[in-house]
Amino acid sequence: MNQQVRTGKIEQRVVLNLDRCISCRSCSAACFYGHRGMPNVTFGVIEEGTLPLICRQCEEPACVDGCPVNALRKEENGVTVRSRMLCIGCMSCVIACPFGVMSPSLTLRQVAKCDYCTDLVSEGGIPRCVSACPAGALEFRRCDELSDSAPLLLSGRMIGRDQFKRR
Amino acid sequence: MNSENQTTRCLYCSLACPVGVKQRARGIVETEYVNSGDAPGPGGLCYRGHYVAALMAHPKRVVEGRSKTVFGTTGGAYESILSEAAGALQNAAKDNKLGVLLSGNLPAEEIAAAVRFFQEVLPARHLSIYIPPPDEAMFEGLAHSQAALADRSAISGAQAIFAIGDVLGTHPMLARDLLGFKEATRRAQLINLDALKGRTMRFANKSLRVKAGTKTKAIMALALMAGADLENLCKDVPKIDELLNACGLDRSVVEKCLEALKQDNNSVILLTIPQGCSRQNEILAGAAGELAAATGSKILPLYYYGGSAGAYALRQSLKLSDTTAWFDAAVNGEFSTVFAAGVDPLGSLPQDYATQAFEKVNCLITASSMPSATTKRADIVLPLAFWFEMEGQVIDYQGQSIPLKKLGEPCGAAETLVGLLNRLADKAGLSSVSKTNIDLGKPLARVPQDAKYTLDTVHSAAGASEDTFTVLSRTENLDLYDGWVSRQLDWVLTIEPDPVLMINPEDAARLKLHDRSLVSLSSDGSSVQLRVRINNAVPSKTVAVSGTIPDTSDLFDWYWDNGIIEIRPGRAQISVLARENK
Repeated sequence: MNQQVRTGKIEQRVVLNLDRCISCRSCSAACFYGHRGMPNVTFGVIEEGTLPLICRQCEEPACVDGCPVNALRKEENGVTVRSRMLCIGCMSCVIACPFGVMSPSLTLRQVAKCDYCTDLVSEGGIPRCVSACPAGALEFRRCDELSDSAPLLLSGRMIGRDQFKRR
Repeated sequence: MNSENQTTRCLYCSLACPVGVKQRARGIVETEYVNSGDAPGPGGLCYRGHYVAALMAHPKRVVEGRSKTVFGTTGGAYESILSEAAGALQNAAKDNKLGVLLSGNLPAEEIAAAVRFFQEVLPARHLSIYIPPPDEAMFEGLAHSQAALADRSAISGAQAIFAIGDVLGTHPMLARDLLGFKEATRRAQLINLDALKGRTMRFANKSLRVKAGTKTKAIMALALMAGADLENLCKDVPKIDELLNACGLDRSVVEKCLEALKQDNNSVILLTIPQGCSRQNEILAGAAGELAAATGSKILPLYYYGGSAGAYALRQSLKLSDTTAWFDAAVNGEFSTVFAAGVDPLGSLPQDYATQAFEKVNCLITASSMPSATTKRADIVLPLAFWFEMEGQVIDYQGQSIPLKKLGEPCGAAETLVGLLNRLADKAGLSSVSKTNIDLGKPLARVPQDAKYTLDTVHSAAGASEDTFTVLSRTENLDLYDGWVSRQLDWVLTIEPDPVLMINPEDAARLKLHDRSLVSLSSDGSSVQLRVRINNAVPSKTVAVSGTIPDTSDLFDWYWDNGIIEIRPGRAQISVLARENK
């Protein structure tokens, strides 16, 4: 196992309420402009709806295991982050991700990785995708408050438009 | 690093949401929604609000003057370009051959001062304020009806909401209100009428899905069934059964919807208008108003641009000619020089007619914030500030006046409209104008006109043959392409690098098309390359493309009809260029 994996456990997660998502992609716009042109929110299509795919911040992240240059690491707060300096854009993490939520940036030749807007969350804020949602479909909830019936994030392997991700 | 938070309003739609912009010394960082008391609702900021920050520091922004010479368009000294523009304007005003077209999506004070400038300082032969065609159709149509206007608070207290068009597509910031209304009580009914299954239809309790291009007929049928009199709107009103057959609606389903609307006289009709300023759009708005009056409902018109209501009120109170009269004068060769500020008629209006209008103009001077089809044709381009770099007021969808604050100084040589006109006045040795407080009144408080329209122009969208498709112009569902300027934004280019064609899965399978296949859509000699997006929402034998970008506007059947612009659904053939994603 990659040495960058630590035992950090995430306290709060982004969840999606499918009954409220209007497919407006405002979450993606907020993410794009908040992360200097590297959008971490990708999309999957279900019939006529386009739904956001957001990183689940896995407890044992396969993307970290798959990275050959140790560009990904799990922080103590449970968030997996990517080093912009180390990432070589090899897409190993994209292939490794079991949920298909990571996407390469073809122009920057790097892979974007959701960091749960650490800059805002560390100051008591909420991730940009959540605060941007005009329908209240995205929520930032404490893990201990989430029940089995709580809304969850979607898997890009199931609904991704990108065939590369589907398998 | 210093940071500063400022607030303005987003004028990308008539909700005019408050937008907070976090600035640092090296430029804009990001935008955020400000949940103030008069905001359209709690929640985040829709994707268009984020354009504010992106546009402010856009690398393609017009920040210097340009003048066309024998060597092409060149930069040169801004002062000499201003002198050249001032000279051309002065000569045209002297000969009474100056035409002026001002953007309606600016603060009302800026527009009013500019109007005064072109009435008193440099008199123009024809002066008009440009309002997007669908908004103009909505104002004109509703002025014919006896509808009572609602405000946003009526949504939460309503028993039923009847949404005409894809309201959540054009105005996503109403999502919390609409979903909250639906979740509040089990009796609540959200009814949606549209040709495509858009975002609103996904959440609707009852759906009235009509044939492409027959929305006007459907609303007329509903209004007639509710007991409305449409004689003041339309000559030779067709019978209800004819209308229902044309749009493919079942009478019993429509009756159930009307019952829901009549409940407790406490319903709201949310009205959006399709692209184009056509007779049928005016009838649609008027019939929706009559439907509201007949069912005891209130109507909430949702305009495309934040400044439209104020601009319309201003145009009425200043007794300015409408845009179509202005273009008629241009086509008749009444102008030698045209000054177009903040508008892109060549990019947003039917290209044939806009080109024809500017053909006889010797000197086209345009003031613009971003490069456009008009700046490309212009002889002189002057840099203009965006609305969020100006101060004043606009009227929102509820008819309320809201202040617009300035976020900061514009880049480069760009100036506010009044600032630019005063610079031109200085160069020409004329007196300057200043902004004053103005009373805009209510945009719809006007005497109804006597004009009566016929339904002759309403198009039947039946396919002509196996290989042809009806092409629908959409902004909803293709909302990333809601304008030429939007298309130049990094985020839009990342998500959707090419214009999209939406097609039904069955039609796609027949043509062996896959998602992202490259196709050429051709119509009457013009063609455009688009990427396929397979979508169940599109009816069979129909394709949907964005009608608000120059790439696709040639596909539609645009024309001037007695001074009114109309877009009919066009017909086109698809040829496959590359199949991807097999």
